[in-house]
Amino acid sequence: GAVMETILFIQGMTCNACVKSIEMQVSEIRGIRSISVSLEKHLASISFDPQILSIQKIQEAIDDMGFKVSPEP
Amino acid sequence: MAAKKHIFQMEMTCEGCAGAAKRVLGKKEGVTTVETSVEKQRVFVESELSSDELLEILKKTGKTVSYVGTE
Repeated sequence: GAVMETILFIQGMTCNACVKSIEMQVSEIRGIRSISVSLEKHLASISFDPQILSIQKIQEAIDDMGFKVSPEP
Repeated sequence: MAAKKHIFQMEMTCEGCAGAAKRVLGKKEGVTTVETSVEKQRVFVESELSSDELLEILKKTGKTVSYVGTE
C-alpha cells in the first residue's frame, strides 16, 4: 500500500524512557510503518499507511499518552 | 461518591514521564488532584473514578503501572 511520511513535534519528552515508550506504543498501532523519535529535536518522523491511519489519529494516540503533539514546532 | 485517594506504582525514570502521567489524568473529568513521586515510583490520584478506570488511563502512557491501594 501507499506509505506517507510525516513529522510531528512532541513536547514533554525529557529522557530516553519517554522516547522508548512513545516509539513502542506508536509502532504497535495498525498502519504504522516506522517511527523514530529525536529527543534533542523534540520530534518524531513517522511513516504510515494513509488508507488505514490519518495524521489526526496518530496525534490523538500520542496525546493520549500524555505528550503535547503538534504538526509545527 | 466521594473522591478517594488512589495509589499506583508506576515506572517513571524522570520528570518527563511523571509529567505524562499528570497530563493524561489531568484531562479527565472526575479527577481532582494528581501527585507523582519519581523517587518512590508512585502516582497519587484523588478522584471519584474507580481504580480500574484510572489504571486504564495510566496504562495508555505505555509505562508499566500497577494498583497499590486506596487511602
